[in-house]
Amino acid sequence: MSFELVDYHHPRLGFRLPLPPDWEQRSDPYEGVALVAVIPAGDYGFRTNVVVTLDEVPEVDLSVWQFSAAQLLEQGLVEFVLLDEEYVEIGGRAAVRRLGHHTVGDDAVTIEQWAVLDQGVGYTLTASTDTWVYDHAADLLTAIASGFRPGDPVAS
Amino acid sequence: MTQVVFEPDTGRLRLDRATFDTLADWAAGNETAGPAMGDLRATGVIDVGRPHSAVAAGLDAVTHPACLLRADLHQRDGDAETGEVWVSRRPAAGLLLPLPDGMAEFITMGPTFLPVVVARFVELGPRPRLPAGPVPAGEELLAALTTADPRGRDAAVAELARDAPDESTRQAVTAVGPELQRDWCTCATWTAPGGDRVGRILRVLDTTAGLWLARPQRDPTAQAETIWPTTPTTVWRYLTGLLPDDDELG
Repeated sequence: MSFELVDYHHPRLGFRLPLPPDWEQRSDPYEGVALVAVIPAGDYGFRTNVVVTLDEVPEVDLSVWQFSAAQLLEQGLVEFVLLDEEYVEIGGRAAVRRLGHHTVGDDAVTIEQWAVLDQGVGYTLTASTDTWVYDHAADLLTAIASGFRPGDPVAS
Repeated sequence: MTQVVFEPDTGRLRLDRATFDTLADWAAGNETAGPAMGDLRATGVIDVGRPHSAVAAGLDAVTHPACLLRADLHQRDGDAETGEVWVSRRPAAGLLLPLPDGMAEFITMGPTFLPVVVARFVELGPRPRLPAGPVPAGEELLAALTTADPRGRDAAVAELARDAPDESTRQAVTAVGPELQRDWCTCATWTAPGGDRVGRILRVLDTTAGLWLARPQRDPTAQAETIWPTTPTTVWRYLTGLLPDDDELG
């Protein structure tokens, strides 16, 4: 399945990922959040979105970093259920992919998360969508995550 | 003697099956005499001739269902449980789920939460990936494969292994016998615009080595022919697409 996607390049941190051209984008909207990209407002109350966060994780491997990240999901999200977890590759780098479900207000939300380490920086790409539309959104979210490339802050 | 436990603040309703049937009959306008009606009134489930607001939408789904959903779960130790769901066009859903003590819980919720309720019910979660391909498996073989009788299961596994297309798949299906933890089937049915009764069905064999998908079919009356190795993510996609869209309803 192919999608119309355009390259997003973070102006300060240098990472890249493909996004639908009509999605709203905000770089560095909050402390610790590098990117929020959101589908245009439509019929559904909960808008599908992708969030990229960065952590400094020196001298820690992917499994150690992600062990604590998994615990944070369970502690931080309402009625969180872990549905799937696997090791994958993104741009030739080992990554962890997770699928889960949680409640946001009155909405049932499916969350899909990819985490990749590069040069002591942990990148987490979190996609959230109304559970009702997950089956329609899943391939697009995978395409976005598959195109993610870590950045080089010095060179950018 | 009936048992009804109702928490009006949360809408949590625990009751036995016979009392639930009495409540459903009353909601449909067929009141029957008996102690169950007294308990339903005494606990506030029925409040001045109306269903309590916390259960009203769920009961409306029971009496005016646009879609019926059933989930059957068979554990390796022989335990079997069935969950029933009624979905209305409002949209709202009423769920009747078994409890360990033999009672049942009636839950009123938005249908968008149904996939996660089914996922919890069948214990969907992370599983290893099976290095295998699809294997022919008809209904009889599936029934033997999931029987509590170890000898019947061994015979079914041997037959599956004979038809495996490669060595990796042969090893994977051979492991189904000792590693099957549970198998489950969930089926949604509704009336299509033309008046036909249609639906979608999903059957999964859950083993410690990974998941097998047996019936991801649009026709719930179709016979199983093949089992495919699958992942929790694929199963979740089927679960989120199990209920009909508005244009599929008659």
